[in-house]
Amino acid sequence: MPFAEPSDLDLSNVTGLYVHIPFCEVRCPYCAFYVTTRDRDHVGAFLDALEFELAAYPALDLRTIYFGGGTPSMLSVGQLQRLCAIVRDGVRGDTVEECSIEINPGTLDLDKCAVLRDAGVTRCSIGAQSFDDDILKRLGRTHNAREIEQTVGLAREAGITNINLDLIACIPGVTPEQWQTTVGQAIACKTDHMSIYALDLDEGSALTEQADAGRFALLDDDEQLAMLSVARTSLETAGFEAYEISNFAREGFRCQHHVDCWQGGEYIGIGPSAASHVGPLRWRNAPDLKAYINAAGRAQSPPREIDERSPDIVAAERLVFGLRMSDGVPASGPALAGVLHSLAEDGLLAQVDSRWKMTERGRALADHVARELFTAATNNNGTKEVCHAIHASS
Amino acid sequence: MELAQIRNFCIIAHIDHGKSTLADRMMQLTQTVEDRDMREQLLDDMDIERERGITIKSRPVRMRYEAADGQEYEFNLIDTPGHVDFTYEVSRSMAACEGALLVVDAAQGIEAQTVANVYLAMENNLEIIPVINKVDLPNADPDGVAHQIEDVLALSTDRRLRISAKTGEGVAEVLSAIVDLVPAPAAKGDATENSTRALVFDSVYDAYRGVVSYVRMVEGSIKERQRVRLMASGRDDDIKEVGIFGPKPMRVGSLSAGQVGYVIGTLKNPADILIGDTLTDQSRPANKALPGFRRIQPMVFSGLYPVSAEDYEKFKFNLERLGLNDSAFEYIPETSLALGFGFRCGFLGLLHMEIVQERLRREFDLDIISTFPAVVYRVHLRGGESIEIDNPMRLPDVTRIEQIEEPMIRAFILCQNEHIGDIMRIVQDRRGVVGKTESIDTQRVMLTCTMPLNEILVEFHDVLKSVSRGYASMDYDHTGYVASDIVRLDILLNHEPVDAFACMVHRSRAEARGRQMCQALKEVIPPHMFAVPIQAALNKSVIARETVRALRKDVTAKCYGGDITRKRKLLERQKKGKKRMKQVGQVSVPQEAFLAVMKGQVT
Repeated sequence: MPFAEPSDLDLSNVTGLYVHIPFCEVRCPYCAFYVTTRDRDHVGAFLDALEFELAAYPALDLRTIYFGGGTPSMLSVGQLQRLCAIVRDGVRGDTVEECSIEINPGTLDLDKCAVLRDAGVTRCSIGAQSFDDDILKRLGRTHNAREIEQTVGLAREAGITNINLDLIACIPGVTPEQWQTTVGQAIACKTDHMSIYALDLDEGSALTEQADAGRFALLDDDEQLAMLSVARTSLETAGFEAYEISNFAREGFRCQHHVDCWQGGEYIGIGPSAASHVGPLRWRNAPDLKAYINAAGRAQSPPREIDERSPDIVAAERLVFGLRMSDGVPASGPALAGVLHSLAEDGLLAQVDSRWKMTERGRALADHVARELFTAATNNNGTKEVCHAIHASS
Repeated sequence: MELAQIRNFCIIAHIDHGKSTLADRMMQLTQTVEDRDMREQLLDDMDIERERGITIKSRPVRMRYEAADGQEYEFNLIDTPGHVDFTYEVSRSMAACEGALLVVDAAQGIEAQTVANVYLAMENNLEIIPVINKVDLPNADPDGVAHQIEDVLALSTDRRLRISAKTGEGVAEVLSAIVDLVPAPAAKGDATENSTRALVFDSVYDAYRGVVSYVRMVEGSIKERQRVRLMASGRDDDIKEVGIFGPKPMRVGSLSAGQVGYVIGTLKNPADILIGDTLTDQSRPANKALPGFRRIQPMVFSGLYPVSAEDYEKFKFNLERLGLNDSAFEYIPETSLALGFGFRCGFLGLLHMEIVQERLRREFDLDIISTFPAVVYRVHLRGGESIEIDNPMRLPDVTRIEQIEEPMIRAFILCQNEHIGDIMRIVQDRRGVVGKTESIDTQRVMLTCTMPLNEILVEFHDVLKSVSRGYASMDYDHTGYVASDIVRLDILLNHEPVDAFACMVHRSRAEARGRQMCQALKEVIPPHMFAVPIQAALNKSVIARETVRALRKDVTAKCYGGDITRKRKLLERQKKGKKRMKQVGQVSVPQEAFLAVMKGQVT
């Protein structure tokens, strides 16, 4: 067993905290994250358990905090106050540079905004998805385009001006013109960050089930690439930089929390399904709200799955995530150099300013790049790969 | 036991018409097997036999039967394989008998296999006793079926044996009919005084005792410690054990004329015992062997390869084991550029091929790929030489070929009247000629067709079943070779010919087949980092073409700090999935591709 308690770990390199709030009004058909649409009576017990989990760590010296979900903005004013207090008391707040929260349009009001601002939230990420009401309906969203603009306005009014909008690209039935319009409307909101996600079939989503049953199909590869290219061109023209495959920011507005993740930074995740990264270890809490609450009730850590990575896998992960960013990775260093060169021969990578960077084709085939790197790393030394499930009862 | 008290017979029937159940019931009635030891289909002991309701190996059993007049008889029932693939074995088992029970399902009526087996029994001069089974079924029509038997097979049903093997009704009458109708064995034809001849009609391999030969004594006797000669193979052997089947082996020390039993000598290699061989006394050998012996010739060949090269030794070992109990199965090492090391395997027919492959997969837990099945072609070269080709890759250059001959079959297809048009069409599509149509009854007809064996190797049975909604049945026998315009169709992946996909086709069918194979491959070959052309070619000229487009997009949109482990493992799994594919040059070919090229024929 790699570790039994957080106190056994060296947490000195941890800079991020991720807090998973697993509640949603409805489950969106494309979503495969761990959320629950019932159990809203359990928010109180969940917050108790969250407090318990965080208390097991020494006061963390953090640079970034990220409240994700789920729909954190769905919590009531009181619940948000409690959430912020738990985190404030569990970390050393004076070093935090960025504190993000995910918001669904229509779930925010001025009171909630005030709570968040007072708690030190600096950035909000709004799940806009589309600016076309028909498409929003088809996506199973409960808000309309006007509510997106209102939510942006509310956040600004409260003083949270670093705002991201999420958009979903490549929705079958959406014409390139409609998509262009949606991107234009998003740009018109004048936020400083944009995430464009191609609709995908993630394991466990309702859409994936439909696709397996032959009732749904994604756009073909060329159509998808064309849609993504439309967004990229528009955003670059509007002054955004594509700093990661799906992420765009104006200068100085990259999401620091995510950049740290991609650059191999260490973080702690709390809440059901939240993942952590410390040294050679990655672990993930079980995606199970009841088990999470029950463990805390028995004063035990939540059930976790732990992955102890070999140095080769650690190195491969650094490359895989680093290459997703426009900055790429340093070309020096012997790690997996052979694979990198052969990927370059295939036209997927190129050396620019002594860094390996993805070409346009490489960005379209990033999973292929990842497979090649991981496989090479695994074959390097028959990696020692340990996966343990620590049960709350153990 | 006097010759006059012995009855040797077999049972012939279409699949599921109740052959094994009748055998079980007869064994119970004659108290050959205690009721408490009875289990369903006692004689079929391979799983695959029970599951598919077919018999692959012969299974003799001796029964003692006391007739109503108090006379005691020795019955030897030889349960025979029921499929055309095993025609030769069946014919040897039949040669060991004087009579045959023909079991026909009272609801189904006669089927193609019934017809083929009856013809075979007639060729072996057996007294055929029709038995109409399953009369207890609500839709039984024994009168109608009796008419079919009389009209189509020209057999008398005067004895009115109408039974239910399931309930036991009428089975006693079958036993007395055997006494009355099956001739007692007679010392046959040209025997010289005191000569010894026994027919070897099957053999099995026993890991502890060596080869067990199943024999029918025709003349003279065989005792333990006797030195014998196998007339066809020319080998001599010492008999260690002689016994009968009760149905478990029972040592009896000797067998005399007319009896059926087994002998075990010192030979350890099953290949030394040829089915149909004649066993005689070594010191006073018979002048002439029993008639009908021939060496078994595989009719259908296919390359079998382990999916992963590491399994080669295990594969080879298990082929040897399988070969011990299946003397008809042949295999020789073969190398394929696409598939690596494997074996060219020869089978008696399609069912035999299927059974062997299934046993390898199931009993030995092996993942195997089989290449496109091929028949044996006779190739006459310029300059007079002739060769037999069982592998398309061995076909000499076209400029050296004078003529190619292919094997033909006579097929019996029984179907409902309303399907006759569709069936004639699929037969003609496969270069067949319908020679005769005969009415079985008011609803069914039998088509007798001449077809190239090559055309029924893949998919024909499935197509037949689908156009007839499952009602048609088919059986066939081999009718020799005829000259034909046969060519080799090559399949090229990324401009490289893939030997495992090459097949022999009639020129008139080459383009359609080439197109179909290219389309099938396009469906199953995953996109690569480059476009993969798939081409079908005759003598280097391309006649069909498809392209698998290059992979364009393969990227996870949301990739953050959550659950990276699972994502990484998913990617590794995908990569491993790719590794299980066969690498053909630069192209990864999934296992399904080898199956896919055989499917999807135009119907």
